[in-house]
Parts: sequence; structure tokens; C-alpha cells
Amino acid sequence: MRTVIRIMKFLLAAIIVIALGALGGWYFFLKGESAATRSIDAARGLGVNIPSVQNPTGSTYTNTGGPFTPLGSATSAAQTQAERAGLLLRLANLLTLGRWGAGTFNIGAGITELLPFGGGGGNATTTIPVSLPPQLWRVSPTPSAGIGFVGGTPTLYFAERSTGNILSADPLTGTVTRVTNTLFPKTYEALFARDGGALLRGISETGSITTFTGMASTSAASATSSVATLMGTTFPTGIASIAVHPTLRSVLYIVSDGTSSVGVRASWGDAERKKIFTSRLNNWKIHWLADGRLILAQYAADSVAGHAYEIKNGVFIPVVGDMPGLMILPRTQSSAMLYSTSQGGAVRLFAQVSPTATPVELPIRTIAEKCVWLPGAGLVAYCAVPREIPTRTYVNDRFQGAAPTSDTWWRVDVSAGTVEQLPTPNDQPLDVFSPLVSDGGTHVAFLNARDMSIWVLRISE
Amino acid sequence: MTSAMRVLPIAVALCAIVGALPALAQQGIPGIDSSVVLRMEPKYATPATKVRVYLQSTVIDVSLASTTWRVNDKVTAQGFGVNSIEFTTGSLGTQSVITAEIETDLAQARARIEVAPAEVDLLWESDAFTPPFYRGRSIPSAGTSVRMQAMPRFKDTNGKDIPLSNLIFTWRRNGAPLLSISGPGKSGATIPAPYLYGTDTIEVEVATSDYTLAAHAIARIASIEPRLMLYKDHPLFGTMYFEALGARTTVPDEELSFVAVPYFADAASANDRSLIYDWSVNGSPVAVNPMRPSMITIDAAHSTGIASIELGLTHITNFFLKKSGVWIVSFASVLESVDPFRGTEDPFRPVE
Repeated sequence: MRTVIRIMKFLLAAIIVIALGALGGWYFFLKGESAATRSIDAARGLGVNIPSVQNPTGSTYTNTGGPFTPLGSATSAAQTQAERAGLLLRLANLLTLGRWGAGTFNIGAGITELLPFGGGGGNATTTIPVSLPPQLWRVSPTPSAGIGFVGGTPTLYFAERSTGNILSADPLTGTVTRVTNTLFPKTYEALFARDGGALLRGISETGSITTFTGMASTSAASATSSVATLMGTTFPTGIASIAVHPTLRSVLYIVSDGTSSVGVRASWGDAERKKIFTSRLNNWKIHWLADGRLILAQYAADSVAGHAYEIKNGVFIPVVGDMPGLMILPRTQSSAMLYSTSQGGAVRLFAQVSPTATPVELPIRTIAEKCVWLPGAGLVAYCAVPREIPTRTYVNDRFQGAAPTSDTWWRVDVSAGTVEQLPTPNDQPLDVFSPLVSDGGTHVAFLNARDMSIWVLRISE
Repeated sequence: MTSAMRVLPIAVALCAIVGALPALAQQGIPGIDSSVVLRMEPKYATPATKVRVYLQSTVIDVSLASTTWRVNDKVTAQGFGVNSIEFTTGSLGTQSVITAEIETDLAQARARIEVAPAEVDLLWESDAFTPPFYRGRSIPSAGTSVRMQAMPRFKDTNGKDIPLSNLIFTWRRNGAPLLSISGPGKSGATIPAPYLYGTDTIEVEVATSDYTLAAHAIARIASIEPRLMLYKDHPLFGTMYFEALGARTTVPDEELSFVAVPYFADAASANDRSLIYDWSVNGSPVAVNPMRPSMITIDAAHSTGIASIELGLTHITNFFLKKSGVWIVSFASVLESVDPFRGTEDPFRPVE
């Protein structure tokens, strides 16, 4: 009997041990599975707050492009240090207000860094501390709809292609801040007035081009955030081509009724409309210069003759014409002009200092739309020059996104007739698109046509 | 009978044919002056360009005559056998008067021509389809139309622009006049594009009613084949027109939409009802969304991760439009997780 009882006790003990073991195993199994599930959820973004309240930029700028990190040597020292510091060090640093632990203390970055999904208080004026950006700075890796220098400073506004949100980048400090949080999904084109007014263009459900102009308004923003709302006016659909005056807050656009097109000048709110010209054609590119001159150039195509005209009192006055694949770059306060031609695979760039002067062919092979005039007294331009023209129909292919190039920057002194290549410390292929120069002539901003990322090149030392 | 008397009947007869020209009467042989004419090359003078004026006569051997050339009453050339001069035209609104006085043993004659430069540009574009925000020229293909605009610059001698309504436009296609679109003030025209691979020579002549001012422009317009391109239609960024898909492309996604764009096709939009899209993926036909037939969405989950997208494009009525394209797209996220021992027969699942 006692033997049986002993055996029962052993069995009971064994069952208990086995049960405990099984429970332990089950516990660790569930723990592992939970961790895996959590990691998957985290990867999917489950529970993540709206990005716009995490940092000054938020939105897809952060989601798809990751946090702002200048390339090369300009990687943020503070950021790197914060990443290297351990949790305890950072916690100690926080509790002792920076006296112990990590070497520096940033109350804004320090607290939010410890929170599981970032801080809760969005503030557009918060900046990510970084050092001076490199000479060639990638402002945003995500596709952009357009860029523009504002306020007569090197401050660059840009609109996200995905949201239409407007962000501001300061090439002097390397900071990127959010300006607006008004949603304009799938913005295809953005233009900016010098005072910060934004013009956003998209495609409606019916396939028509939509146009909206607005200004960032902080009145509708919350008290805890200075992120603004973009308030403005929706223009009629179907505007084929539009331009913003560089200094005035005015637009000039071309609308067509199928048989003819009309050029209309209007205020930012599409008021005070005034007919400027009429044409039977629709394919016009508008060059509206700061000095008020209005120049229209036919859209370019390889080996197809193009013409450009200045519009004065509704009259078309020829500027340059009957050139194959013509693209022009007029200069404000001057009659100088760069223009390019494309025929049979040969792309040529010309400079003309005055209407009566003989055009001079420049020894670089690029299109005029890859150039910008430098402000100032001299006739100096900066041009992005493809290392190789990839196709025989480069202009057509470029417009169709089928001829990406890898460009280098050149300084062109038209007065002296010299060209000089700039050292550009970047290995990433850049297909320069829509370049702009800051008012002070210190920075050139452009989109990379390969992915519509935004770049700024510092051209002054 | 003197030699002068032998020439006289011929000269008189030629004068009757050629018609009267401003001339100085020739002593002794009335009417012989009208047998002398001045011809300009090029036919249409433009501002500040060199033109050459030739002296021609059906009666007098001008190579043996002494000729005195004047431009605006100033002698510019003189001598035997000088049967042409070259001079540079003035600006718009100016007029140059060129006279030639010839003298032979038998006769004297004088001819006069007024040269007033004028200009006209001939601009054109097509109504063929290009997608929104396309910044290039629309080029014609068979079945589309070509919009043309003549941009004349005509000034009278007072320097005033001559209005379009006072100008006569004569359009020609491959030399044949297009009467229905020609006439006073008709500076614009729309004509059918050339046939497939064809090239048309379009000319426009603009002139005042008295033909004192005239200009001419010419354009050679070729029809091309429409071009079929494929782009990603990203859920965030929309159609990525800036990045056309090459023959082989790798995308990081597992599911993605693609949009075909028929550049320069005879259509109002990519989803024009007259266009017929014939999609297939890895050889299997795919039904299209009738509202957006230019788009296809591919779910590469549970597949090999490589899709061969084939597209044929035709037109309901325009039988010249027939394009096709093949794009091989690798879905990287699927390729990374694919079981190497699994068969390759897994079909793609186009999302409808």
C-alpha cells in the first residue's frame, strides 16, 4: 500500500513537473509569437500615430523617405550621438537635465525619443538639429510636385507629391519644417510665388487637370501647432499651362475651348481676369519673367521646328524661331537668352546676348531647360549637362520619362564665352529637372527627374 | 530694212503678252522697255536678308548691254554684262526701289521693282493624345489632325501692322491649293494628318490684295506611329510619368497597378472608348476595367514574382493604330520570399 502511495506521489510530482514544464514552454512559445506579431504589426505601422505630429516634417516625407539625413559628411552629429547612446544613458540624461549620461540634452528630441511612437505635440517650428548641409544636399528623397524659393532667401518650399503638403527647407541650416498639413492627394505639379503662395495641380477623377492656389493660413491651425492650413481658390479645370509671376502674386494660364486657346492673367484668387493673347495652338510653355516680360515658346519635340514669341499688347513678337526641338531660357532684365535645339540625336546649346547678336554655340551638350541664369550683372548661367545623351530622340524621350541621364553641373560665362565644370561630390545619378536659382545666387535647387527627389546645390563659397 | 525694224514687230508682240510695267519709254522703239523685267530670288523678301535681283529680257541680250543699277536712286552697279545685283532688304515697313537701265546699240529700256519685306511663321501641332502635364509637342499620327497657325508680320510704309483681315492666306498641301481653308483673314487651319509614315509639305502664302507685300512659309509634317509606354500607378504618388518602365523592371511591391499611355494616338484620353486594350499577364488574358481600360493591377502574392505584361492596342475605326508592348516586371518582395522548390506554374492574380 505504501508502495502504491509512493508511486502515486511520484506520478503526481511528475505530472506537476510535466505540467509546469508544458506551461513554461507554452509561455515562452506565446511570448515568442507575441513578439513576432508585435514586430509585424510595428512594421505595418499598426498603432503608429499620424506622422505629422511626430516631428516637424511628418507625413510621407518621413514615412517613405525616413528621417531627414543629409548625405555624406553632413550626417547629423546630434542624431548620431542620440542613436548611439543607450536607453539608460538617455534616461539618465533626461532625469538629470543633461548633467549625466549623454553628452548633450535636447528636451524636444530627448523626450520624444524615449516615447514608444514619438511625442504627441506637433510643432512646425521644431527643427531637427543638423550641421551645415553638404554642397549638394538631398532635401527630400520622396517624389515632389514642385519647388520654389520664397521670401528672397534661400529658403525652399516644396510640395509633397503624395499629400500636397508644403514643407520648407533651409539650405543654410539643413532644417526641414512643415508649413501646411492640408491634404491634396497626388499633386502632380506645384509652383510657388515668392511670398510663399502655393499653386497645386492634380488630375480629377474625370482626367481633367485641376488647379488650386492658396496661402498658408495659421488662423485655422490648432493652438498647439503652428502648422498652417492651405486656404485658397480652385480654378476652372482644364488649364493646360500655367505660370506664376516671380514677384507678383499673379498667375497666367492658358485655357482652350478645343478650337483656340486664350492666355489669361489673373490674381491669385482667379479674380481680375484679363485676356492677354489668343492663339489657335495649345502647346505653349509660358516664361513669365520678373521684369514683367511674357515669352511663349512652343512645346518642344525632336526635329520639329519650334518658335518663341514675346507677347506685347497681345501681339506676338518673334524671339527665336524655326529651330528644331527648340527650348529657350530667357533672362530677366536682359535680352540675353540661352536656347537649345535637338535634331537627329544632336543636342546643341546656344547663347545669344542680344536680339541682334549672332548666337554662339556653347561647347556643352544639354537642353536649355537644364540651365538657370545667375542673378547679377554678369551673364552667367549654371547648366546641368548629361554625361551622355541616351537616345536619338532625347527631348521626346525625356518628356516621357524614358531617357534618364546622369548630369554634371557646369558654369557658363556667356560674356566671356567660357564653360567650367563644377566638382559635384555625389555618386548618385542626377537627372536635373526644373532647376531654380535663389535670389542671392547662392543656391540652385532642382528635382531629380529619376525619382522627383529634391536637391540643392550650393554654388557660393 | 534696218535691224531695228526687224526687231520691232517681235518686241511689240511680246509687250502685249507680258503686259505693262512701269518703264521709261525708249526712244525709237516704243514698247521695248516692257520686254525687260526684274526677277527677285528668293521670291519672298524677308527683313534684313540678302536678295538678288536679276534682269531678264526676251528681246534684248542683257549680257551684251550696259546696265546701270540703282537702289533707292543710288547707283550700286554699272557696266556691261552686269545682269544681277545683290542687296540687303530693310526692316519691316520699309520699301526698296530697284531700277535697272539697260542700253544697247539698238535699244534702251528701264525696269523697276519694289521690294518690301514681310514675314510669316508657320506653326503647327497635333491634336493627338498626350497625357496631362506632358510638356512636349503633340506629334501627329495617322487619323489625327494637325492644327496650323500662320503668324504674319506685315507692316505698311507707315510702320503700322496690317490686320489679318486685310491679308489673303493661300494654303497648299503638297503643292495643291486648299481652297476651303484659304482666303482673307484665314490665318489658321486644321487638316488631317498625313497617312502612316507619310510626310506632307504644307505651305502658306500670305499677301496683300495688291500683292505689294507677300511672304511664304513651309513645313514638312510627318506622321509617326503612336508610342505605347507603361508607368507605375502608385497609390500615393499617382501615375509616375517621370519613370517609364523599361523592358525589364524590378519593383519593390507585391501588388501594383500599371497604366499604359498611348502617346500621339488618335484619342481624346488614354481611356477613350475608341481604344481597345488587350492585356495579358504571363500569357493569360486579363479582363480590363471598362471605366479605366488603360490600367491593370497585379497581385503577385503566391506567384513566382515575375510577370510578363503584354499589351495590344487597337482602335475601333482607325485601323492604322496597332501597337503592342511587352514588359517584364519582377516583384522583389515576392521574389525574396519565393520557395525555390516550388513550381513555377503559379499564376498571377490580376486584380479586377
